[in-house]
Amino acid sequence: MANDITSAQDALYQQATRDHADALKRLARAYEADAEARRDLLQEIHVALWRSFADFNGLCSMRTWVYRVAHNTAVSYVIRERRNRGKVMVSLEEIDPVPAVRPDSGRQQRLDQLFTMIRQLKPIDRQVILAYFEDFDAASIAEITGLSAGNVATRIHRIKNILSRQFRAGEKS
Amino acid sequence: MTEHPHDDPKQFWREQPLEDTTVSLEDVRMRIDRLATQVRRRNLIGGLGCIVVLLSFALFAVIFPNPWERTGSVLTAAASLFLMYQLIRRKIYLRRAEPLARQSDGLTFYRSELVRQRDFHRGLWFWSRLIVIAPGPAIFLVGFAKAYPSLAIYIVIEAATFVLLLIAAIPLNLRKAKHYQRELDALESANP
Repeated sequence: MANDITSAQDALYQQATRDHADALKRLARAYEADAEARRDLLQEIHVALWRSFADFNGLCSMRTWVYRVAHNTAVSYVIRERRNRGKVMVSLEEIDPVPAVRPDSGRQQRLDQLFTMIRQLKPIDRQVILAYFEDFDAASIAEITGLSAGNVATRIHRIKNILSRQFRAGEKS
Repeated sequence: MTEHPHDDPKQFWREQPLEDTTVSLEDVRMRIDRLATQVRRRNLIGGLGCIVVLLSFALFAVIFPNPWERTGSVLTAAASLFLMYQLIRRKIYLRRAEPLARQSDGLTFYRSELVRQRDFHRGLWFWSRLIVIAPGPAIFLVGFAKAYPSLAIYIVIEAATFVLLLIAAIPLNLRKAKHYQRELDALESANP
Protein backbone atom coordinates (compact mmCIF):
# COMPACT_ATOMS: atom_id res chain seq x y z
CA MET A 1 0.00 0.00 0.00
CA ALA A 2 2.73 2.44 1.04
CA ASN A 3 4.74 1.40 -2.01
CA ASP A 4 1.76 2.14 -4.28
CA ILE A 5 1.44 5.63 -2.77
CA THR A 6 5.15 6.30 -3.20
CA SER A 7 5.18 5.10 -6.78
CA ALA A 8 2.16 7.29 -7.60
CA GLN A 9 3.98 10.19 -5.97
CA ASP A 10 7.13 9.38 -7.97
CA ALA A 11 5.12 9.17 -11.19
CA LEU A 12 3.45 12.53 -10.60
CA TYR A 13 6.78 14.12 -9.73
CA GLN A 14 8.42 12.72 -12.83
CA GLN A 15 5.59 13.92 -15.02
CA ALA A 16 5.82 17.39 -13.47
CA THR A 17 9.56 17.68 -13.96
CA ARG A 18 9.31 16.34 -17.51
CA ASP A 19 6.77 19.03 -18.40
CA HIS A 20 7.99 21.94 -16.28
CA ALA A 21 11.73 21.49 -15.68
CA ASP A 22 12.68 24.53 -17.77
CA ALA A 23 10.02 26.74 -16.15
CA LEU A 24 11.36 25.73 -12.74
CA LYS A 25 14.89 26.70 -13.79
CA ARG A 26 13.65 30.10 -14.94
CA LEU A 27 11.75 30.51 -11.68
CA ALA A 28 14.82 29.67 -9.59
CA ARG A 29 16.84 32.17 -11.60
CA ALA A 30 14.27 34.87 -10.85
CA TYR A 31 14.73 34.28 -7.13
CA GLU A 32 18.50 33.79 -6.85
CA ALA A 33 21.32 35.46 -8.77
CA ASP A 34 24.17 33.32 -7.51
CA ALA A 35 24.60 30.15 -9.58
CA GLU A 36 25.67 27.93 -6.68
CA ALA A 37 22.82 29.08 -4.41
CA ARG A 38 20.42 28.77 -7.34
CA ARG A 39 21.27 25.08 -7.79
CA ASP A 40 20.52 24.63 -4.12
CA LEU A 41 17.21 26.47 -4.41
CA LEU A 42 16.25 24.42 -7.46
CA GLN A 43 16.89 21.22 -5.52
CA GLU A 44 14.84 22.57 -2.61
CA ILE A 45 11.97 23.26 -5.02
CA HIS A 46 12.19 19.74 -6.42
CA VAL A 47 12.13 18.23 -2.93
CA ALA A 48 9.08 20.34 -2.01
CA LEU A 49 7.39 19.27 -5.24
CA TRP A 50 8.04 15.59 -4.67
CA ARG A 51 6.70 15.89 -1.11
CA SER A 52 3.66 17.83 -2.28
CA PHE A 53 2.57 15.08 -4.66
CA ALA A 54 1.69 12.90 -1.67
CA ASP A 55 -1.30 15.26 -1.32
CA PHE A 56 -2.03 16.17 -4.93
CA ASN A 57 -5.81 16.12 -5.20
CA GLY A 58 -6.33 17.14 -8.83
CA LEU A 59 -8.56 20.06 -7.84
CA CYS A 60 -6.33 22.35 -9.88
CA SER A 61 -4.21 21.59 -12.92
CA MET A 62 -0.79 20.08 -12.39
CA ARG A 63 0.81 23.18 -13.88
CA THR A 64 -0.90 25.45 -11.34
CA TRP A 65 0.05 23.05 -8.53
CA VAL A 66 3.68 22.95 -9.61
CA TYR A 67 3.83 26.72 -9.78
CA ARG A 68 2.19 27.22 -6.41
CA VAL A 69 4.52 24.83 -4.60
CA ALA A 70 7.60 26.11 -6.44
CA HIS A 71 6.80 29.76 -5.74
CA ASN A 72 5.99 29.17 -2.10
CA THR A 73 9.25 27.29 -1.64
CA ALA A 74 11.12 30.15 -3.30
CA VAL A 75 9.30 32.69 -1.11
CA SER A 76 10.41 30.81 2.01
CA TYR A 77 13.90 30.96 0.62
CA VAL A 78 13.65 34.71 -0.03
CA ILE A 79 12.44 35.39 3.53
CA ARG A 80 15.27 33.29 4.94
CA GLU A 81 17.93 34.88 2.73
CA ARG A 82 16.70 38.41 3.27
CA ARG A 83 17.04 37.88 7.00
CA ASN A 84 20.72 37.17 6.32
CA ARG A 85 21.41 39.72 3.61
CA GLY A 86 18.98 42.48 4.61
CA LYS A 87 17.72 43.14 1.07
CA VAL A 88 14.93 45.65 0.46
CA MET A 89 12.05 44.62 -1.80
CA VAL A 90 9.63 46.87 -3.62
CA SER A 91 6.17 46.54 -5.09
CA LEU A 92 5.20 46.96 -8.75
CA GLU A 93 4.02 50.50 -7.92
CA GLU A 94 7.35 51.46 -6.43
CA ILE A 95 9.74 49.86 -8.88
CA ASP A 96 11.67 51.92 -11.40
CA PRO A 97 10.80 51.09 -14.98
CA VAL A 98 13.28 48.96 -16.86
CA PRO A 99 15.57 51.48 -18.56
CA ALA A 100 15.23 51.74 -22.32
CA VAL A 101 17.97 49.84 -24.08
CA ARG A 102 19.58 50.58 -27.40
CA PRO A 103 18.12 48.50 -30.22
CA ASP A 104 21.50 46.87 -30.77
CA SER A 105 21.94 45.90 -27.13
CA GLY A 106 22.59 42.24 -26.59
CA ARG A 107 20.11 39.67 -25.40
CA GLN A 108 22.17 39.01 -22.28
CA GLN A 109 22.12 42.69 -21.29
CA ARG A 110 18.35 42.84 -21.59
CA LEU A 111 17.97 39.62 -19.68
CA ASP A 112 20.25 40.87 -16.89
CA GLN A 113 18.18 44.05 -16.60
CA LEU A 114 14.99 42.05 -16.47
CA PHE A 115 16.31 39.74 -13.74
CA THR A 116 17.60 42.69 -11.72
CA MET A 117 14.14 44.20 -11.81
CA ILE A 118 12.32 40.95 -10.98
CA ARG A 119 14.62 40.14 -8.06
CA GLN A 120 13.75 43.47 -6.42
CA LEU A 121 10.04 42.70 -6.39
CA LYS A 122 8.05 41.63 -3.37
CA PRO A 123 7.02 37.97 -3.46
CA ILE A 124 3.43 38.34 -4.65
CA ASP A 125 4.36 40.77 -7.44
CA ARG A 126 7.19 38.49 -8.42
CA GLN A 127 4.75 35.60 -8.68
CA VAL A 128 2.44 37.62 -10.89
CA ILE A 129 5.15 38.73 -13.31
CA LEU A 130 6.70 35.25 -13.55
CA ALA A 131 3.35 33.59 -14.15
CA TYR A 132 2.61 36.26 -16.76
CA PHE A 133 5.90 35.50 -18.52
CA GLU A 134 5.10 31.79 -18.45
CA ASP A 135 1.84 32.62 -20.24
CA PHE A 136 -0.62 31.75 -17.50
CA ASP A 137 -4.00 33.41 -17.99
CA ALA A 138 -5.37 35.84 -15.40
CA ALA A 139 -7.61 33.20 -13.79
CA SER A 140 -4.68 30.81 -13.29
CA ILE A 141 -2.50 33.61 -11.93
CA ALA A 142 -5.29 34.38 -9.45
CA GLU A 143 -5.37 30.69 -8.50
CA ILE A 144 -1.61 30.59 -7.95
CA THR A 145 -1.30 33.87 -6.07
CA GLY A 146 -4.62 34.05 -4.23
CA LEU A 147 -5.22 37.55 -5.61
CA SER A 148 -8.60 38.54 -6.98
CA ALA A 149 -8.99 38.50 -10.77
CA GLY A 150 -9.31 42.30 -10.76
CA ASN A 151 -6.14 42.69 -8.75
CA VAL A 152 -4.29 40.40 -11.15
CA ALA A 153 -5.54 42.42 -14.14
CA THR A 154 -4.34 45.68 -12.53
CA ARG A 155 -0.92 44.23 -11.86
CA ILE A 156 -0.57 42.82 -15.36
CA HIS A 157 -1.43 46.24 -16.74
CA ARG A 158 1.30 47.75 -14.56
CA ILE A 159 3.77 45.04 -15.66
CA LYS A 160 3.06 45.82 -19.31
CA ASN A 161 3.73 49.50 -18.65
CA ILE A 162 6.98 48.75 -16.89
CA LEU A 163 8.16 46.49 -19.68
CA SER A 164 6.97 48.70 -22.50
CA ARG A 165 10.23 50.59 -22.85
CA GLN A 166 12.21 47.41 -23.24
CA PHE A 167 9.75 45.40 -25.31
CA ARG A 168 8.02 47.79 -27.65
CA ALA A 169 6.40 45.57 -30.25
CA GLY A 170 5.31 42.76 -27.93
CA GLU A 171 3.47 45.11 -25.61
CA LYS A 172 1.37 46.77 -28.34
CA SER A 173 -0.87 43.73 -28.53
CA MET B 1 9.88 47.22 -40.53
CA THR B 2 10.94 43.85 -39.15
CA GLU B 3 9.93 43.18 -35.57
CA HIS B 4 12.89 42.54 -33.28
CA PRO B 5 12.82 38.86 -32.23
CA HIS B 6 13.17 39.92 -28.58
CA ASP B 7 10.27 42.33 -28.58
CA ASP B 8 7.72 39.90 -27.18
CA PRO B 9 8.56 39.69 -23.46
CA LYS B 10 6.96 36.29 -23.00
CA GLN B 11 8.85 34.80 -25.92
CA PHE B 12 12.04 36.51 -24.79
CA TRP B 13 11.58 35.06 -21.33
CA ARG B 14 10.89 31.52 -22.43
CA GLU B 15 13.73 31.47 -24.94
CA GLN B 16 16.38 32.54 -22.46
CA PRO B 17 19.41 30.24 -22.35
CA LEU B 18 19.16 27.86 -19.41
CA GLU B 19 21.77 26.27 -17.22
CA ASP B 20 22.47 22.63 -17.72
CA THR B 21 21.19 21.64 -14.27
CA THR B 22 19.08 18.55 -13.94
CA VAL B 23 17.47 17.27 -10.78
CA SER B 24 16.47 13.61 -10.86
CA LEU B 25 14.29 11.60 -8.51
CA GLU B 26 17.50 10.08 -7.22
CA ASP B 27 18.86 13.58 -6.41
CA VAL B 28 15.62 14.38 -4.58
CA ARG B 29 15.87 11.22 -2.50
CA MET B 30 19.53 11.88 -1.72
CA ARG B 31 18.74 15.43 -0.62
CA ILE B 32 15.88 14.26 1.58
CA ASP B 33 18.23 11.74 3.22
CA ARG B 34 20.90 14.39 3.66
CA LEU B 35 18.41 16.82 5.20
CA ALA B 36 17.12 14.12 7.54
CA THR B 37 20.70 13.38 8.67
CA GLN B 38 21.38 17.09 9.27
CA VAL B 39 18.16 17.48 11.25
CA ARG B 40 18.94 14.36 13.31
CA ARG B 41 22.45 15.64 14.03
CA ARG B 42 21.18 19.10 14.99
CA ASN B 43 18.49 17.61 17.22
CA LEU B 44 21.04 15.34 18.85
CA ILE B 45 23.45 18.22 19.57
CA GLY B 46 20.61 20.45 20.86
CA GLY B 47 19.14 17.62 22.91
CA LEU B 48 22.52 16.70 24.39
CA GLY B 49 23.17 20.36 25.25
CA CYS B 50 19.84 20.56 27.07
CA ILE B 51 20.48 17.28 28.87
CA VAL B 52 23.94 18.44 30.01
CA VAL B 53 22.43 21.70 31.37
CA LEU B 54 19.56 19.80 32.94
CA LEU B 55 21.77 17.20 34.65
CA SER B 56 24.38 19.74 35.76
CA PHE B 57 21.84 22.01 37.41
CA ALA B 58 19.94 19.05 38.86
CA LEU B 59 23.23 18.00 40.45
CA PHE B 60 23.89 21.56 41.69
CA ALA B 61 20.42 21.58 43.25
CA VAL B 62 21.44 18.58 45.31
CA ILE B 63 25.04 19.38 46.22
CA PHE B 64 24.95 23.13 46.87
CA PRO B 65 23.94 24.01 50.43
CA ASN B 66 22.89 27.61 49.72
CA PRO B 67 19.09 27.88 49.15
CA TRP B 68 19.57 30.61 46.49
CA GLU B 69 21.89 28.37 44.50
CA ARG B 70 19.52 25.45 44.90
CA THR B 71 16.47 27.45 43.84
CA GLY B 72 18.38 28.91 40.85
CA SER B 73 19.54 25.43 39.86
CA VAL B 74 16.03 23.99 40.00
CA LEU B 75 14.65 26.90 37.95
CA THR B 76 17.44 26.62 35.33
CA ALA B 77 16.92 22.86 35.02
CA ALA B 78 13.17 23.40 34.67
CA ALA B 79 13.76 26.14 32.06
CA SER B 80 15.94 23.86 29.94
CA LEU B 81 13.24 21.17 30.13
CA PHE B 82 10.58 23.69 29.12
CA LEU B 83 12.70 24.98 26.20
CA MET B 84 13.34 21.44 25.01
CA TYR B 85 9.60 20.73 25.14
CA GLN B 86 8.77 23.95 23.25
CA LEU B 87 11.35 23.24 20.54
CA ILE B 88 10.09 19.70 20.03
CA ARG B 89 6.47 20.89 19.89
CA ARG B 90 7.37 23.60 17.36
CA LYS B 91 9.29 21.15 15.20
CA ILE B 92 6.41 18.65 15.18
CA TYR B 93 3.99 21.45 14.26
CA LEU B 94 6.21 22.75 11.45
CA ARG B 95 6.83 19.28 10.06
CA ARG B 96 3.06 18.78 9.77
CA ALA B 97 2.06 22.28 8.73
CA GLU B 98 4.78 23.26 6.28
CA PRO B 99 4.09 20.82 3.41
CA LEU B 100 0.38 21.70 3.58
CA ALA B 101 1.10 25.43 3.69
CA ARG B 102 3.24 25.18 0.55
CA GLN B 103 0.25 23.93 -1.40
CA SER B 104 -1.82 26.99 -0.58
CA ASP B 105 -1.97 30.08 -2.77
CA GLY B 106 0.90 32.56 -2.68
CA LEU B 107 -0.88 35.21 -0.67
CA THR B 108 -1.99 32.80 2.07
CA PHE B 109 1.45 31.25 2.26
CA TYR B 110 3.34 34.54 2.35
CA ARG B 111 0.99 35.90 5.00
CA SER B 112 1.39 32.80 7.17
CA GLU B 113 5.19 32.94 6.83
CA LEU B 114 5.24 36.59 7.90
CA VAL B 115 2.94 35.87 10.85
CA ARG B 116 5.16 32.96 11.90
CA GLN B 117 8.30 35.10 11.72
CA ARG B 118 6.62 37.98 13.56
CA ASP B 119 5.37 35.74 16.36
CA PHE B 120 8.79 34.18 16.79
CA HIS B 121 10.07 37.64 17.76
CA ARG B 122 7.16 38.72 19.90
CA GLY B 123 4.11 37.22 21.59
CA LEU B 124 3.91 34.16 23.78
CA TRP B 125 6.76 32.23 22.15
CA PHE B 126 9.27 35.05 22.64
CA TRP B 127 8.19 36.23 26.12
CA SER B 128 7.86 32.74 27.51
CA ARG B 129 11.46 31.98 26.43
CA LEU B 130 12.66 35.16 28.09
CA ILE B 131 10.66 34.74 31.29
CA VAL B 132 11.65 31.12 31.62
CA ILE B 133 15.36 31.64 30.91
CA ALA B 134 15.96 34.74 33.03
CA PRO B 135 15.24 33.92 36.71
CA GLY B 136 17.12 30.62 37.14
CA PRO B 137 20.68 31.72 36.28
CA ALA B 138 20.12 35.13 37.94
CA ILE B 139 19.07 33.57 41.26
CA PHE B 140 21.84 30.98 40.96
CA LEU B 141 24.47 33.72 40.51
CA VAL B 142 23.12 35.65 43.49
CA GLY B 143 23.43 32.49 45.55
CA PHE B 144 26.94 31.91 44.22
CA ALA B 145 27.96 35.45 45.19
CA LYS B 146 26.54 34.93 48.69
CA ALA B 147 28.38 31.63 49.05
CA TYR B 148 31.71 33.02 47.81
CA PRO B 149 31.91 36.71 48.80
CA SER B 150 35.54 36.93 47.64
CA LEU B 151 34.37 36.24 44.05
CA ALA B 152 31.34 38.50 44.34
CA ILE B 153 32.67 41.21 42.02
CA TYR B 154 33.27 38.73 39.17
CA ILE B 155 29.90 37.13 39.71
CA VAL B 156 28.19 40.52 39.70
CA ILE B 157 29.89 41.33 36.38
CA GLU B 158 28.77 37.99 34.98
CA ALA B 159 25.22 38.50 36.23
CA ALA B 160 25.12 42.04 34.86
CA THR B 161 26.30 40.84 31.45
CA PHE B 162 23.64 38.13 31.46
CA VAL B 163 20.90 40.61 32.37
CA LEU B 164 22.13 43.17 29.81
CA LEU B 165 22.11 40.54 27.05
CA LEU B 166 18.56 39.58 27.98
CA ILE B 167 17.47 43.22 28.05
CA ALA B 168 19.17 43.89 24.69
CA ALA B 169 17.32 40.95 23.18
CA ILE B 170 13.97 42.63 23.84
CA PRO B 171 14.24 45.70 21.54
CA LEU B 172 16.12 43.69 18.90
CA ASN B 173 13.36 41.11 18.73
CA LEU B 174 10.57 43.66 18.92
CA ARG B 175 12.17 45.63 16.08
CA LYS B 176 12.21 42.51 13.93
CA ALA B 177 8.61 41.77 14.85
CA LYS B 178 7.66 45.33 13.90
CA HIS B 179 9.40 44.91 10.55
CA TYR B 180 7.36 41.78 9.78
CA GLN B 181 4.19 43.51 10.99
CA ARG B 182 4.87 46.41 8.59
CA GLU B 183 5.20 43.92 5.74
CA LEU B 184 1.97 42.27 6.81
CA ASP B 185 0.20 45.65 6.90
CA ALA B 186 1.54 46.49 3.43
CA LEU B 187 0.38 43.10 2.16
CA GLU B 188 -3.10 43.61 3.64
CA SER B 189 -3.48 47.11 2.25
CA ALA B 190 -2.29 46.09 -1.24
CA ASN B 191 -4.50 43.00 -1.28
CA PRO B 192 -7.67 43.77 0.69
